[in-house]
Amino acid sequence: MAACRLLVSQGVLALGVHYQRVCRSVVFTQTREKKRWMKAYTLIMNRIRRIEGPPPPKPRSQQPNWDYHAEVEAFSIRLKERFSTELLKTAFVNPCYVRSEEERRRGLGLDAGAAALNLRDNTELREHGEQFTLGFLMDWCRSNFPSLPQEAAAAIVGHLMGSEIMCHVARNLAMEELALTAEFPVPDDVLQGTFFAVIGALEQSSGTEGAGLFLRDFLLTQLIGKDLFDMWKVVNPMGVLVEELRRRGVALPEPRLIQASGASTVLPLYFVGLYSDQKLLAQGPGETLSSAEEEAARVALRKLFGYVENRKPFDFSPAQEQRQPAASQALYSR
Amino acid sequence: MKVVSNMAALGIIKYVRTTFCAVQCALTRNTLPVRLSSLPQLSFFGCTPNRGIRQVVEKQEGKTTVIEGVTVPTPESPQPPNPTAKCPIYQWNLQNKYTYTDVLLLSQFIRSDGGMLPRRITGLCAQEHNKIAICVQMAHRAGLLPNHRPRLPEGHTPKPKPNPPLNRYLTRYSLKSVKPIYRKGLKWCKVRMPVGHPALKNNVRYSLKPIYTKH
Amino acid sequence: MSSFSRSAQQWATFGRSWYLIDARMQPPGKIAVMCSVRLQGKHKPIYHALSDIGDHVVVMNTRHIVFSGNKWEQKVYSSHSGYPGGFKQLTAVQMHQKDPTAIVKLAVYGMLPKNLHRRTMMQRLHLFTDDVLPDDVLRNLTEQLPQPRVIPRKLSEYTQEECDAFPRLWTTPEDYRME
Repeated sequence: MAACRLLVSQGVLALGVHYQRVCRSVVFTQTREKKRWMKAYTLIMNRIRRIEGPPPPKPRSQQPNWDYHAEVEAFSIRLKERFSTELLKTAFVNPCYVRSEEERRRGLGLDAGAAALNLRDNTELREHGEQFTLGFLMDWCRSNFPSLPQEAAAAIVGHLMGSEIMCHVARNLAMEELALTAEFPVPDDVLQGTFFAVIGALEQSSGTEGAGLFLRDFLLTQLIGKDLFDMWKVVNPMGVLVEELRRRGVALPEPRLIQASGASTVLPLYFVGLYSDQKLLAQGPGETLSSAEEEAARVALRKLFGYVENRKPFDFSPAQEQRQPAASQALYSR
Repeated sequence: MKVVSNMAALGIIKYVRTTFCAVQCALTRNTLPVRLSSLPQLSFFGCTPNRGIRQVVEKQEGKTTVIEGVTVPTPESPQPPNPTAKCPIYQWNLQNKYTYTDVLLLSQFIRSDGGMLPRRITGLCAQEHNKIAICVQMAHRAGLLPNHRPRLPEGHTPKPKPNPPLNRYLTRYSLKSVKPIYRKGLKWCKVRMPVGHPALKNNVRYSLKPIYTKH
Repeated sequence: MSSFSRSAQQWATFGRSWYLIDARMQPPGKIAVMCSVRLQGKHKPIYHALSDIGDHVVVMNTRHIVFSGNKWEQKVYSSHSGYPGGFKQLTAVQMHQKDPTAIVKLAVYGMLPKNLHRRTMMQRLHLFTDDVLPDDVLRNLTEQLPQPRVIPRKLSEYTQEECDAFPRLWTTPEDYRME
């Protein structure tokens, strides 16, 4: 910081000297020559930027032409959902914002009564939305993957409700700009809470079905292209497979080497097939025999649980049948 | 072979060249048929008769036992599709349909030392005789007729060959007559190495690729 | 079909397989076509000229290759050592006697693209004069490729039944004495 200041002062000094020299000789008139001071100035500014890094991000609300009410309205219209505006506005108010705002007012010298904000924060909405999301996702998993065990479904739901996915979706839905928070690059947990609150507000304003469709369209699409074992960490897939087969009453798997290439090179490739009762369950490639066997077990688990790559795609069709009476009305109103 | 030695031991050998069907039918009932299949390539007698079945016929007439070797005529081979033609190739509609690999066909037209049978015997027309001669030559050079070699004179041991022999096929010229092409020539007038024979260029082909003989 | 994990899928996709070609009674040009396609990786759907995804090819029995026509005598392999008087010309027979793998090797080398990958691809070509392969090569092999040329059967390789089944095209006159 000190270095920067030194730089700036030097630059200003140089500018002043230059200016004096120019002014001494002639009366100041606008000259259309090459601005030779520009080079030094640009260089100094570049150095400052390089040392200090880019300026801190400024929230959209502190930039010109910001109308919070219009933006919130636009948010609901953009998503084509019917929010009640009060609920939506409440959903965007985080408790940390209320706290920091009261702190700021108190710092400005207002007394406690006047400093108190007349705002409801989104704590209840957040809890409500979280409960609803959890219940909906678990139901959806159970209906789409009926053979998936409980812990795998919980892992999928946990992945979807984790802060990474939620924040990614929320940022792309421009909730970061609308959320009222204490600090601007909104922390992940706060943003996640805001998203839950928005879901809760939607559930309260347009019913369970609308909120379910919203979750299906915006959150469950994040599952596309995801592998089961990316979300569900299994250390010993062979053990899980044996357990699953024993539960189903099928003969236990028997690993066999079915293809191999370059066994004595540094790039060997093995294909191990898992046979159960002389029928091929699955085959998997690997660098070593053990890793190939583990991969085969994973493939077998995917097949058993119905989470294969060539499964039937998820049903994202608009639910026309269920909302037949409201369909035309919704179509025109949106 | 066994039958031959038996016959030699008994010493009563009678060759019946001409056969009569009626006698034959009567004989075959109470005889012991021994199949001595004729070996078309390996001839023990220096004489290759036609590919018939020879039967040893044993007759008991009082005290004398007569053992006869009867040449049964060739079992009626299927009738050729075009019996009016003179040339056997045309009779069987085989024109342009054989090449050097069809050794079963070619071996019917060659002597035991590998040379062609004369045309007045086989009845081939001149063109087909020529083509068969070319095919036989290429089959010899490809080593497909290993037992049809000229008989070496007595007491002559062949020179040691390079081991293993150099494999070749579709060889048109004799090996001693060709010389290496040291000057290949310019790009537009290269000296080519002929493969196969132009007489066989009308052969039936089952692929789309045209035959290419100038490598 | 495959629901492999990503890393396993990647490993299986880019794994190099080892092909075996039996060059007994095969023309070297046809062998070289198969070799060059596989050495470059052109048989793979993921082929790209800049990605080095060629496979290994093992050619055995290069001593027993076959040439059509009179190429053993006519074909000439030329080389120049770079020194004055260093121009050498060897016929195919001489080349084969000098090195039984040289003919196949030169044919493959000429069919590969003329770029900096050529030497790398040639290193993945393993030539053996006979059908005795070392043990570490044998363990690597994945697949044997079919021979491009059908080997014609010699007359002595036909069984008696096949000879008898072939119809007699002409009948010998009774009085003709065969030699």
